[in-house]
Amino acid sequence: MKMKKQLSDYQFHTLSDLINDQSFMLWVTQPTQELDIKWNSIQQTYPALIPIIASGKELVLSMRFDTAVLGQQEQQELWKSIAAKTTLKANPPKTIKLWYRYAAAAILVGVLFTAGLFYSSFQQVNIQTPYGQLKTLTLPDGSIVTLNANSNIKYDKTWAANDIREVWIEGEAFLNVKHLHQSGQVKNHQRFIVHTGALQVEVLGTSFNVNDRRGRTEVALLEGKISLGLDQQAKDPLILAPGDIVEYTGGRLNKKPINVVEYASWKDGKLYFKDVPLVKIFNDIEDIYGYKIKVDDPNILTRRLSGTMSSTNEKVFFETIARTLNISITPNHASRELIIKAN
Amino acid sequence: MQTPYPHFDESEDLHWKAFKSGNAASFSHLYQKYSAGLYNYGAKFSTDKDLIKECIQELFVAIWTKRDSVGNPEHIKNYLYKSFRNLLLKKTTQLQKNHSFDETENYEFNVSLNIEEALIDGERRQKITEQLQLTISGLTPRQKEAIFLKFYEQLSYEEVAEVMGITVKATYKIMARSLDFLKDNLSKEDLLLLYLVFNLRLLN
Repeated sequence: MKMKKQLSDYQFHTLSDLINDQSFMLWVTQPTQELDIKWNSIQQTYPALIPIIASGKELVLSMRFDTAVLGQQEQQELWKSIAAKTTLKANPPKTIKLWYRYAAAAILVGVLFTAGLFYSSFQQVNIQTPYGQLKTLTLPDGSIVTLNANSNIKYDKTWAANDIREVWIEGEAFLNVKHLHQSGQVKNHQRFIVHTGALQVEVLGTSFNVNDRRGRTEVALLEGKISLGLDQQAKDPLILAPGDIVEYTGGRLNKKPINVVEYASWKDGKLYFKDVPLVKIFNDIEDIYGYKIKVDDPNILTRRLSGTMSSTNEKVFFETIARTLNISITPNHASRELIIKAN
Repeated sequence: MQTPYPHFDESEDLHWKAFKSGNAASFSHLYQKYSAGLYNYGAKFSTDKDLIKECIQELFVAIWTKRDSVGNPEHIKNYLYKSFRNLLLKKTTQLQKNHSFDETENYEFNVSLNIEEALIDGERRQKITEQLQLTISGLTPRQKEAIFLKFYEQLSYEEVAEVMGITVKATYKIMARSLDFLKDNLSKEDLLLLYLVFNLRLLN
């Protein structure tokens, strides 16, 4: 097999050449910086290849294997029997102390809020993502944050040894928090608090998603435990269990079951919809890409969509929706409007 | 928007170490992270759901019991997939016939490949899906498994080799043959059709 190719070898590549090219497949399925550089320079050198490469990429990504799904309940039941056989059951996570140990597990939180931030900006890091772009950054303690498009994070530039770790987030973010608590009394610096206006989410080390848009707060938990408190009230914090989602709206917290996959898919450049009304999808588009949606026929908004779509390329994303629902979606870049018409 | 690179998870290593020192939360984390993927992988070998779950249970009970003696595998996912695969193949061959399980060439691996509903709809999609399915069924179980691990689980060639217990060279060979086969057997028309769908705006 020919492993090394010259740049010029790619000049007359067709779609099927690409699909048969190992480095192309690797780039699409498991991109590395090196492959990024290579394929970007191919596209720069031969602009004629850009649409072909884009097609190839979509083609590869759109092929998918049927998945055998292990239901959440089945998964939990199976875990119970594993836990029983491994004597994990001897330590039921009942006490406050114990849930701290569980905080290493992954959770997912969606939060909507409008917040005033009172910290002076010079000692703070303040990062805002533009429309249509994700950003991954590392916090002072090594925790990792993926910011969704049109989102903002603020935190102190340095975190003192004895301080609680705190961040303020607007929009949507996925956090992978370093777990610092080992055993015994929890010290301040082992705590991690996400401020989301009316809500604060406290964890010790975990992965979760915060989303603050349109005056609504959602906190969803994948696994492990988190504690949720209202900023204003000194009420008992609410402890979430896996699969719970808590919505904060109009001053009230409501618990409901969710499909957590939907809440995390954005960070992998995919949007997951299951029988979602178009009006909700258009709200997402407004939040993520920054368009104002103009619809000529309001009936369109009540139609529903299911599927997993790649959101990495807005043109492809819009076209996919348009094709699926037989509507036309035309962006007006000057006015940042998206004109929706029934075909 | 940029897609984050896969395979970047430094916390994974920490979880594994914590699990080895008896941390129940990290053990739970490993289960939560891998059980669904293992189940899906297992379903390609066997339609017996209880058997697959039994193997997942045995795998996790085994690694917990032997946590002091299991090493620090470079890739935890590979290690789990490989152990799970061995367990499952052993059990399926035991069930079928009382044969030794060395004959790993002799196993079933059933995948079905789809075109995303959202991208193409209606009759065309059905036609292309059927064509794809027909083509896939012409591949050997090994080829299907290699393609699955590579494109679905996004393992590298080295990782696919490790999980399947074959050499890296053999993996490259299997993959090249599979891709050639797909290319030869998917008509130009099908490829062109897909191509058109994606490029309609260029032609307009």
